[in-house]
Amino acid sequence: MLDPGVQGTTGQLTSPTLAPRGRVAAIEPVLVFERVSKFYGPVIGVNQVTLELRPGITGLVGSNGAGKSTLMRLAAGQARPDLGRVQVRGHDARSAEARLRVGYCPEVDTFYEEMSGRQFVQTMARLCGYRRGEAHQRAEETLRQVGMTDRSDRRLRGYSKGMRQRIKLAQALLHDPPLLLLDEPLSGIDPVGRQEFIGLFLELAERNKCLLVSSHELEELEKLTDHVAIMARGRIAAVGSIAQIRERLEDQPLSIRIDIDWADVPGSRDTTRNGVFHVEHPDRLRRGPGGRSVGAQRRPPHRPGATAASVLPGADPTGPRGMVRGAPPGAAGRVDLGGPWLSARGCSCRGVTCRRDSQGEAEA
Amino acid sequence: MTESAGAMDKRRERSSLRAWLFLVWLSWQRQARARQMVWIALALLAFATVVVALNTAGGRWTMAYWKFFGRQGPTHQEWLAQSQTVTPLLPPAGKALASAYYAAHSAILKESDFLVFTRGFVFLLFFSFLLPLWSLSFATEAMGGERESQSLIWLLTRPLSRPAIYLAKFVAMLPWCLALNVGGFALLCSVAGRPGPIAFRLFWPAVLWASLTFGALFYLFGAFFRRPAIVAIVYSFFLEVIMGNMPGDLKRFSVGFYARCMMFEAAEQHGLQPENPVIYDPVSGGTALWVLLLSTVLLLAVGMFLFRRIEFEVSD
Repeated sequence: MLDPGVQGTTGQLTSPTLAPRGRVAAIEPVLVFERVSKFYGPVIGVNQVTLELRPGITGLVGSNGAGKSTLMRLAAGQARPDLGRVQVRGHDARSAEARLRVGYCPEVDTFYEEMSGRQFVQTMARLCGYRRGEAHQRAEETLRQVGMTDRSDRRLRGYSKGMRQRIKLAQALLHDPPLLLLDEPLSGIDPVGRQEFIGLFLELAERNKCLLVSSHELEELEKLTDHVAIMARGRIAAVGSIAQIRERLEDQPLSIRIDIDWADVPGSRDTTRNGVFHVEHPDRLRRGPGGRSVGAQRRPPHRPGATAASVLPGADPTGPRGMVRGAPPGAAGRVDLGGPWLSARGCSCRGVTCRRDSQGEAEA
Repeated sequence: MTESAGAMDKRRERSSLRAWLFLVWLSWQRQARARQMVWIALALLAFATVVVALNTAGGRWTMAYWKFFGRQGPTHQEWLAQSQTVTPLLPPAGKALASAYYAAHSAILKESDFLVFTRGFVFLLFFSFLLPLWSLSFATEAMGGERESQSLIWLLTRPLSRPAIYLAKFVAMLPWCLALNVGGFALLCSVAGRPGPIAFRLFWPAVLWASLTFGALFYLFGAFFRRPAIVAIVYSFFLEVIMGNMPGDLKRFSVGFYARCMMFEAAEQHGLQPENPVIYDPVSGGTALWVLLLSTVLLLAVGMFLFRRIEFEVSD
């Protein structure tokens, strides 16, 4: 379901249920955010978030700085909300009782490097309070689940990024928690490994676990779940299925606002290159492996050059597709992308500051 | 019903106390992995042992080598030797008196080794320099090392309360800290000749309690400061020294003051006392012990309270 306030500006959204695959709101929520705000000095990390998660997989999407990791840390009890409260199965997320119910796969990539992967997972199991035999048994089981049984005797310092991700996931699964918080779990994993992980996540969801999986990339999450929460500037901008969110966005043109700080533009002192900047259209980022455009048929063609010329005085619209070239110093304007675009990355720019706008509200 | 039964089973198969004890064991093991500060501490122990041994071999733990009259005149030994040359010239009664005086002077010089060793080494080098440095080498690493390497997250995500984690790591750190401090003091005393065993017998309680308090203080630094070793060094060599030697009540905020008070009382029969007791105004040994003990408990309680509330950023 798509929340009625998805496109609003308050960000105070309630998701009565985030239960994909037909689960209903009658199931007790596993994770509850109640009007939670978190500040880092003058910067707001999470802004008035109200959210309930029930068993199933929920994707958490947002650009860098959108507040995904802060939300994860709040749920894992690693950060304290300044306003509101976070509860896991009725326990304050900061309590030991709540941690017993949470498996957290953090973003940080440091371990007890002198240990082997197996030793590390066993150590984490012992720190959960299991007897030696039980800890070993659980460690072996989770290592098997993440596909590290035969590779876990090497020291952690020699592990690749993918192997480290697997060990992180193994320690999160050890105590069989009802809630799994997975911060960028697919980052650094090869395609085969991704498929294995996705299969594992789906299997866990089938076993009535609640998974909150964060990612920069919506495509990644599309393979995993159709339920996502989109974060922007600390708010939950949208909650629901990807299709529903896209449908709502169809009616609201998405544009990129370009603010040029001329001092930052490379080559601005070179008169031959003065005023040249590039805006790479998100379309370039939307292409999957092999150049296949992911869901391209859903999108109308874009006309970046022509549109840019109309809004940027002096801009040369003859640049290649997806590129806007030339603008006078101090130019500012909008590049209409010609339709709704739902990309977690938005666009990438060189020499200019770009911000995506949605319904008049700037998003980071 | 089934869910609650499952929860009961889970509670039975895991135990918070077992987890806490394992954390103590794990932390104790990880402390054994000598880091930079510990290597520095061990190198200092080796250096100090050599210095003490050389002084002992040279018979320098005595006032016989001290020059008197403004440190410009002859040494006590020289003066005694010169004085004895004129004794035969004295009348019989004077000879007896002089002999008694020289014997007493020689005895004082011989017995002075304890005071020289205490003031010249135990107070000046050990308590002012080695003890704080050795304490901070383990104490700041205990939590600070995990914090700086960002591996603390793995403990904070376990189903243990944060105060329990804080306490466990402190308990794990203590054996190393106390072993280095008390063991190091024992080693140094053992190579100090005659005054060494006396000093160890009298002063080990002060070393133990001061180590405990310094340990709790520097452990607190390790948990909350980004460069805990530097903060602890600044505290030890500036604030402790300045505060500990200030007239008035300010010195009562220094750990060293109470340790010294315990030592003054323990070695009272050997004539050890502050250079100016009126200004120094020492407290009794019992009071000093209680202050150190309560300070340790208070520092731990403050640390546990703050640790429960603090958030460790990813960049920490």
